[in-house]
Amino acid sequence: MARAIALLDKPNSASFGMAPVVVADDASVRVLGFASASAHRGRGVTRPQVEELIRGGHALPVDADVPSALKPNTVALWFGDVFAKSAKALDLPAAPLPASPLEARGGTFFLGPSAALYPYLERWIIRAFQKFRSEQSDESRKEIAKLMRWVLPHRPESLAAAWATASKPERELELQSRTFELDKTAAQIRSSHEHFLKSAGDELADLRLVVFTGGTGVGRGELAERFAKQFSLECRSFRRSVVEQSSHAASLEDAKEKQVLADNGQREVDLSPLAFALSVLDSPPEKGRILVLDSLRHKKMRETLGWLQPKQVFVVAVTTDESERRRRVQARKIDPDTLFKHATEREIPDLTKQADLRIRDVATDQELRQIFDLVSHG
Amino acid sequence: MDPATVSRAEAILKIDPARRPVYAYAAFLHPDLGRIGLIVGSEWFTRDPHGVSRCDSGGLAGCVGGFGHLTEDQAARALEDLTHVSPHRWEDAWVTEVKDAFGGFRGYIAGAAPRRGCYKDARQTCIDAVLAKSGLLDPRLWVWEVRSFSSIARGDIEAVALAHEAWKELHENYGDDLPIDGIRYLVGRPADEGLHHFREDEVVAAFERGL
Repeated sequence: MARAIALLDKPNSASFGMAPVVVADDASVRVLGFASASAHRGRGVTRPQVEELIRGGHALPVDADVPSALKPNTVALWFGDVFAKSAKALDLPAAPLPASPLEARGGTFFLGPSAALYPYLERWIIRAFQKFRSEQSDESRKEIAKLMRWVLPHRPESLAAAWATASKPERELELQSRTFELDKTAAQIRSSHEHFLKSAGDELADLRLVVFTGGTGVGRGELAERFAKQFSLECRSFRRSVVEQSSHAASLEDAKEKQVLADNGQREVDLSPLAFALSVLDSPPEKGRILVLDSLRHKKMRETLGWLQPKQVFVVAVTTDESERRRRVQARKIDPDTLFKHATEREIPDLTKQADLRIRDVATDQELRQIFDLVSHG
Repeated sequence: MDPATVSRAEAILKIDPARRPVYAYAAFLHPDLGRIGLIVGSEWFTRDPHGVSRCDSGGLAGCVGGFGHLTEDQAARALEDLTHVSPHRWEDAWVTEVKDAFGGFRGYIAGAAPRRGCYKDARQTCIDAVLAKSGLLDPRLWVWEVRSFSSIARGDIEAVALAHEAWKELHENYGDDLPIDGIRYLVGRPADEGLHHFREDEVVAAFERGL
């Protein structure tokens, strides 16, 4: 094991952001998380230098056990205590967070690859901007704009919201032309804000999701495919997303492959439920379309899909006789008693109870039509 | 840096403790400077220059980091050899050296490593020793240090580079009435691929504009 000893750039309690993390073991100190353009800033940093940065207020001291094999693209997602309270008061919570929080002065942080954690900031901004645009109260709009500046101040959403709520809009434009909108005139920036405030939308907002849940062996995948085929819908699967990232598993025998896929799926959920959800929602079908999602296995993923605020999330739980389920699993040379205890199976009974509809694996076309009608009509 | 180390360097450079200079790196923001960096125009230096060294004087005199394998005597001699005391003209030598070592200023400013074997002085010995051991080269081995007795005035500051959390705090404290008006703030940002500590392309451009 190694220890995380500092977060560079000393994230503030009022902030929701990302920071490079300094990791030390007996032999060395490494700075993780810089993009390639800034990689030289973390090279060859020594422990006394880190201590000096902490003393000077440029880094936040932390103390946490971390795996020694952390990759160079590992960052700290920072969730400040004050930010959490402010966001809650405005009904703008963060997406369901990764599974392993680490404590620091003024907030909580999570370690993971930057590509898996950055969406927390980006999607929060998109959600906050949707609320900003629909909000009637000037006071609330100002509060939302202020909070957006504590997340990604350079994003067009944050800049447009800051301008729209500024007490001196011309002064705000001048400031933006000296910070995030370099080489643009105030008139150009104003014009792009006006356009953005009118037109920017969330591509997920018109999406209706029909999400299939159910344990291994219930015939869930087959039913989801049947449903999609019957109504000419696109079917995507959390399982398929994991398979694509576990290419080596295909060469294993059934039981081992299942174990590898289940473990990898669990890891994706623990690391970043938001990135995992977005991995199946990437380039959603045309506006207003219905998307079928198969293989929902975690309550956190259900919460995450809801947090993304598509037009509808309709969960269908597939069931079958327990004896039939066990027989199917055994036919794949997998021990059902071992499999059913895996973390990816554990929450399925609760998801089934909370589903919008429960359906047998042998559902008729007419029953599937009823689901389609329910979703189509909202 | 340890004050005793700085004092040792200043003694070698014959700097009167009663009249100490302000230090800066020539066209470089070192990571040790943290989350805020000031990019200062050359006017600051020319108002009341002390001199220039071809590497970090404190690191060399104290045999710190990459300079660690030198003895104190070797380091003292090297610092004298590598220093241009005012009014000696140093700019042409700096440009020639950077072009030779990096092919141009972009690599020097962006923290790239110099071409192998390009220095003909104690710095090369130090670089070779580091490469033989850990391979992690600290730019203080070759980034030029400039010293001026003049204070840095507000008008000397051409741009401020900030990491994104530092920017959030600055903006919270000052709003749109920032402490220095009329200059650019080169703010870093998080992204899918990791953290851009400062707005690196603009940092390079800001230094290049001043060359």
